[in-house]
Amino acid sequence: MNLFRIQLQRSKRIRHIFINNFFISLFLIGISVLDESKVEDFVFIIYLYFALSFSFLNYGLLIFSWDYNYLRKILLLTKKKNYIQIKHTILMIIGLINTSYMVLVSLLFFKKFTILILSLGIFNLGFLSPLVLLIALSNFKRIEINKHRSWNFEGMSFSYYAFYLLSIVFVALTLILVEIYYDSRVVSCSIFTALGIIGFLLKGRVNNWLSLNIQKIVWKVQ
Amino acid sequence: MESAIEIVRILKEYKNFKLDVANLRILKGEKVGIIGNNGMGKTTLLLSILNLIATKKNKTSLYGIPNDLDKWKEMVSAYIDSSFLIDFLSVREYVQFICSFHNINDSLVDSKIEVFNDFLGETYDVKKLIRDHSLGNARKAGIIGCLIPEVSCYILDEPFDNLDPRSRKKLSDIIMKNYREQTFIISSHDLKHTYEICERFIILKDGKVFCDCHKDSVTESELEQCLIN
Repeated sequence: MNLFRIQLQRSKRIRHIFINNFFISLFLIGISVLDESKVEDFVFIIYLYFALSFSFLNYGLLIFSWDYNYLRKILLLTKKKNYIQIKHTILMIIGLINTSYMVLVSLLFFKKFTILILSLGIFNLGFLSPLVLLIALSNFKRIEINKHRSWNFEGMSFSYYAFYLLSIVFVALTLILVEIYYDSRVVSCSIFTALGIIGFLLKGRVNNWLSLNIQKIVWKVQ
Repeated sequence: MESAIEIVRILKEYKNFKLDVANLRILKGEKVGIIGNNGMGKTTLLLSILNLIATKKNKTSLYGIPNDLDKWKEMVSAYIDSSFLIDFLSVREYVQFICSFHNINDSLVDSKIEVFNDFLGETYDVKKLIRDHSLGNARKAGIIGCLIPEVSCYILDEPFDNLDPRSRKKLSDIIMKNYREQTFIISSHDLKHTYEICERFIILKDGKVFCDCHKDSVTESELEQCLIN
């Protein structure tokens, strides 16, 4: 956790992810506020969801890559399970900050979406965060954190973007289909919340599985 | 006597090289020098012991605990190469970070570091990040990071490389004076200091244990001749 704090302070790249996220979410919210009458509800929500997930996914999908250069030492110092738990906690804290920020924004500007944004936040924290760790584990690349540019895609690959899009498509499709069949947003909220809670309940098992598999990643370190 | 490290079999195959070590025991408190020319498998052996590389066979235990489990990590500290350094930290932050895993608080770190003051010089107190230090000073940080936790076994790969003669001497003195009871595995080409510190020598040749001898049965020049020939 301490290392994460220093990483944030020293790594210009990680800092850029969070700064970019802040401006992108502001931009999306700005569009939503200005064009409220013209934009369909669900597009509107996708905007918000995109803003909600942006830094969470961008940081999380590279969460092991940030440590690649010294992963051997880290895993010699700590138990694999502890390492995964810390990473999961960091990811959830980022998700929680994002969710709080978006809930605050929705309370200020779009009151009717607050519960949906909150349920999407729970979905992100509970369901998406272990999934992000799973994907991050399979797509592991060395990243030099001192190299920086506003848009530095080093370490990113197609599977990252595919996963990014898939998560957005899943949310959008659920919203559209539920609206068509049930004409109710409460059902969508329930689905997202339920998935989030299932994720929370399975967190321990997922972490166990991840800690068994992180060894294979260490073996690949050159 | 109980063993600190017990290798039943380590088999690691590369395209043109095979490391095959079997039935090797390192006893508690023993100081062992792993010696061999370049490419003979010294680093591979150490990484395999620590389970940090994939191997075809790896049946090794540290303090009776198989190396694929985590429990032995409380008893072993190691510095192999620059991948053990966290280069965006200063030396002080790096040492403090490592100590935090061994429940040593920051104020205690400052008192424990005094033993290494002569060896480290001003490296510890400057705010410069490890990545901005010279190779030698960065290596010193890694070595201190390895030596400062109080564990039972220390594993060092080429600890004397990139160090000036004075620092080599200091390091050798620190180990001999302050770590009498602990187990050490040192892989090195620096025969002078390795011979000074260690009491047992394992010579690797073509990925196999060529010779396993004690200090009382071999001289430094014999070891050197063995490597030359």
